[in-house]
Amino acid sequence: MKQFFNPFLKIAGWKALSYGLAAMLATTFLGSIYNIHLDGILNVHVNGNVSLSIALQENLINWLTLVFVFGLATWILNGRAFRFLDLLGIMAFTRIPFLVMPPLNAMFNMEMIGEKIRQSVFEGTGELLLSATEYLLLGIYLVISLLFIILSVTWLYNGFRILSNSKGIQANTAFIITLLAGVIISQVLFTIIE
Amino acid sequence: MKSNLPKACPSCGEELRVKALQCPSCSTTIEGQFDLPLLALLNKEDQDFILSFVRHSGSLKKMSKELNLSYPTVRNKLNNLIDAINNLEQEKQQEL
Repeated sequence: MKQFFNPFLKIAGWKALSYGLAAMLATTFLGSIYNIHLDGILNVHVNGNVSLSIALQENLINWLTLVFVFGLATWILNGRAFRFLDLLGIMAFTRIPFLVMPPLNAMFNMEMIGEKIRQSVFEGTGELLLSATEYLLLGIYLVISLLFIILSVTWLYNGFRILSNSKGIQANTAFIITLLAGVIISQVLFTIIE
Repeated sequence: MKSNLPKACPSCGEELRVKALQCPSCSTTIEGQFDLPLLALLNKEDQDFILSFVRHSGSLKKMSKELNLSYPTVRNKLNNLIDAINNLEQEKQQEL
C-alpha cells in the first residue's frame, strides 16, 4: 500500500519516464477521441472538439510546467545535485492517473451532461435541466475523477519529497507553494495560447 | 549470538568509551580511555550502507538495483548519511 501511494521509493529514472510518457501519449489519443481538455495541471474539462495536436500540446504543457516548478523548488531545497532524468520521470509518472479521465468521461456520458450545463449557464435558461439519473451520474463522475486527481497530487507530493529530500513542515509548505505556482503558470500559459 | 556494540550509556545516555582492549590469544589487557571511531558511532543501517557502498565501488545505480530501491531514494540515504557524519564530526570538535 505504501508503494502504491509512493511508487518513487522503487521507481524513478528511465522506468518512471517511460511509464509516464506512455500514459501521456495514451491520454493524448483518448483525450482527442472523447474530447477531454486537460487545460491546467489539475484541470479536466469537457467542451468542444479536441484535436490530437491540442491534446498533445495540453499534455506537454502540463508535464513541462510541473518539471519547471518542481525542478526549481527541488534545486532550491535540495542543496545537492539531483538527476534531471529523475525529475522528468517522476513528473511524467504523476500524470498517469489522468489516463482514466477520457474513458471515465465517455462512461458517464459527460459530454451530453456538460452540454446541458453549458446551455443552462451560457444561454441563460438558468435552470439546470438534468434528470435524476444524470445528477447521479454527474455526482459519481465528480467523486471518481476527484479521487484520481488526489492520487496524482499524492504522487506529486511524494515524488517531490524524494527529489528534494525534504521532510516535515518544510516539505509541506514548499509543496503547497510549488503546486499553486504550477497551477497559476499552467493557467497563464493556456490563456496565452488560447 | 552476535551482539551489537553499544554506543550510549543505558543509564544517562552519554556516549560510551572503550576502557580496555584485550588480546584474545595471550589475554594481555590494555586499559585507558579510547574514543569509539566515527564509523562505530553510526547506527547499524548506516554502517551496512557504507559497506554496501564500498562493495559496489561507490555506484549508487548498482546499489539501487541490489536494494530494490529507486536511485533518488538511495541518493537520499547517502545524503542523510553525509549529514549524520558531519554532525558527529561537529559534535566531536565541540567536545574538544
